[in-house]
Amino acid sequence: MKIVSIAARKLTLTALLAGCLLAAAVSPVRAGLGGDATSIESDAAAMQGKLSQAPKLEQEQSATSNQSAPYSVHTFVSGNGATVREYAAPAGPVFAVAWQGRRPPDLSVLLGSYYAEYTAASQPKRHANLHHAVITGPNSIVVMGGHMGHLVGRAYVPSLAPSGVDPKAVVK
Amino acid sequence: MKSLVTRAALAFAVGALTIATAAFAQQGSDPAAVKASIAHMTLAPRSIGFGTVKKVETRSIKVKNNGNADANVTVVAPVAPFSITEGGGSYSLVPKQVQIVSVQFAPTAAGPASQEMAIQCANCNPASDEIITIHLSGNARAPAATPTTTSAGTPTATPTATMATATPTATIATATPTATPSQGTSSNALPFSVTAGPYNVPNQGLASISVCATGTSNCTIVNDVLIDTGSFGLRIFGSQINGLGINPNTDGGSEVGECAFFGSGSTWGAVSTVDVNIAGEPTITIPIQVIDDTNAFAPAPRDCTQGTQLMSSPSETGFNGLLGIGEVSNDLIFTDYFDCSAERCSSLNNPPNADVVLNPVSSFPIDNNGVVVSLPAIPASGQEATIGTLYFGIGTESNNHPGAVKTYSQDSNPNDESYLDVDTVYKGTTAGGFFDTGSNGYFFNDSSIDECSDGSGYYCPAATLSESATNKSVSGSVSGAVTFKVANADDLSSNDSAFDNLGGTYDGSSAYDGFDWGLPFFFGRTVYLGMQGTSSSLGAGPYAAY
Repeated sequence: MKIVSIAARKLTLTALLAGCLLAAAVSPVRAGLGGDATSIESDAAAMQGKLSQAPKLEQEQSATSNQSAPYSVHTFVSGNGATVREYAAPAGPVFAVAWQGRRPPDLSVLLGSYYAEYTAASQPKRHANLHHAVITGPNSIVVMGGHMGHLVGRAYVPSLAPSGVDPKAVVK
Repeated sequence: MKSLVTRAALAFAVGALTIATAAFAQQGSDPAAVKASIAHMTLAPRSIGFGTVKKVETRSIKVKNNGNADANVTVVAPVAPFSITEGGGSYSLVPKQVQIVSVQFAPTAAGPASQEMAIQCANCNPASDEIITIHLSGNARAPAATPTTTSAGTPTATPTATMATATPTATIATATPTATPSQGTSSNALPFSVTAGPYNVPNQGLASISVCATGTSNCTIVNDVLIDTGSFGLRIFGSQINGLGINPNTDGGSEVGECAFFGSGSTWGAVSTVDVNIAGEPTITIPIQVIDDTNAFAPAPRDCTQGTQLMSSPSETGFNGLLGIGEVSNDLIFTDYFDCSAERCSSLNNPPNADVVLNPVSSFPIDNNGVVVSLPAIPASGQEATIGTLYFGIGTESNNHPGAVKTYSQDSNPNDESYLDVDTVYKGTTAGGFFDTGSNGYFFNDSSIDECSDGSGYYCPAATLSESATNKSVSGSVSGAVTFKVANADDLSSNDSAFDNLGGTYDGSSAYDGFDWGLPFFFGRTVYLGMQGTSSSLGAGPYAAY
């Protein structure tokens, strides 16, 4: 059983490389966090994943008004097995992403134009911690953790969230 | 910019555990000033092997001050059958002075004996000089000395640890499993410290182990190795084992590389088979990951760098290595292996067994069915330093028999998302929970608790909170509540390094979706973690019992 899954991984890794090259040629300039909702499909392709279902429309009841704020959740499984969710405003940008799996997804794609913030920000030494990290950039927040074999992460840009939506509350 | 922090240096020798506070001069931010006056201790050799003896034997090591300030050296005496005959005690060495330290091996019974002897330098720099352990080993065909009241076969008094300066009267109690152990003198007991360590990180359990090039006496003691029940396999930064002649394993002409994924980042480096000595367990020869912090190996492939960031150095991570002793015998399904040339790597999807990084515990001949982590309780205000013990095996030796504990079985299906988790119910919601000495806090999402304003994700409630969660066995009906405290992380003393009330968000979501029972959980407890594929009187692994 182990051998089967390893063989499958080999296949997906090879395909992943091909997918990256392909996606680089066709993906819109902005993808991942901060990208248009239409870019999610190219994110999935770049990570050798396939959108597994139609986007799910969810709503959060705004705390400050009676109006409910809609957003859509798009889910796919990346080539290395991570389950990825992207949260987008109806006609707006991806304001939050989440993942879980044995391996992290390609954050250079998933964090989009905020990837540079993630790589530049370093957490305070006092908070160094093997199984847990919070990386707060000027605009974005990336939180990840978990033990070997089960890793989770969430990232969001509060300023991109639709009015009335708390990205922290909806990203799961 | 860099401020030198007063740190607790900790030494453990069997029978006597001493903590001395390193007295660093405040040298400000000028690197030249730091260079101006430092003590720097060097030792040679780093181990003494007496071989098989027929009579009492004595061997020596040289302690030298290679710095340009006086070095305040303390040789912590070993216990029988080893003793110091020359150069023991505390003294000062002027620059360039050499002191001979002679160790006598006087076995009173047949059989092997080994011990770690500590030599401290209270004011040395770099920090790695502060406590250096010398591995002592010998074997006897027959008694070579007359037994005394403290002969090798008699457990010595429970080790105590005393603060040298900060709190002179404090005596740190060491926790023990329910069955009375012959603590510290046992071959399966590895003491570890929770101190600021050389890198000033709170709530890290750090131990010393010995690594040798396979089949040689080219060995070194690696200090400050993080005890991690949240991963599987031994990983050491290459800078710590430089010069021993440890090379990457080869697979058909290619060198074997590995990428391992952790919550905060990834480790990249060669797989090398080495000899490892942990506590007094027999030497094991196992593949480990040599984390490449010296650019000695092929560059990390994209599969390893595209996700979370690489751990680049001991100073960035706070440890020199990782002792991954969780409930799985190897890391094969969790990590990626590669065939590498000097310049590039390609995926190695089915690495030979000989190249798969093994959990050291699974490799021990006897004490291989799990681990016992034991830490004393600490004050709510935190403690500067404390000492715990990691016992190998469950019910395999006189010191690791479980007392009255509840056993929580963990998910044993590698295909499950909740693999290795128990069920943890918090405020009415059930999610996966895991017991991880490598995490430095309680990590769980609760949007009702204020996070600290520094963006660290730690909790900073106005007043310390008492919380409760219930752990449940994934099979069967075992269930038990755990009460724990969450203090304001900003208020915790920067002079202390051990805290039982540090908490934070698990993954940044508002919703509770998992519980990481990190090191705070282990204070005041003895926790048994059973290896998958093995069993003990507590049942079949994987399980956690406490």
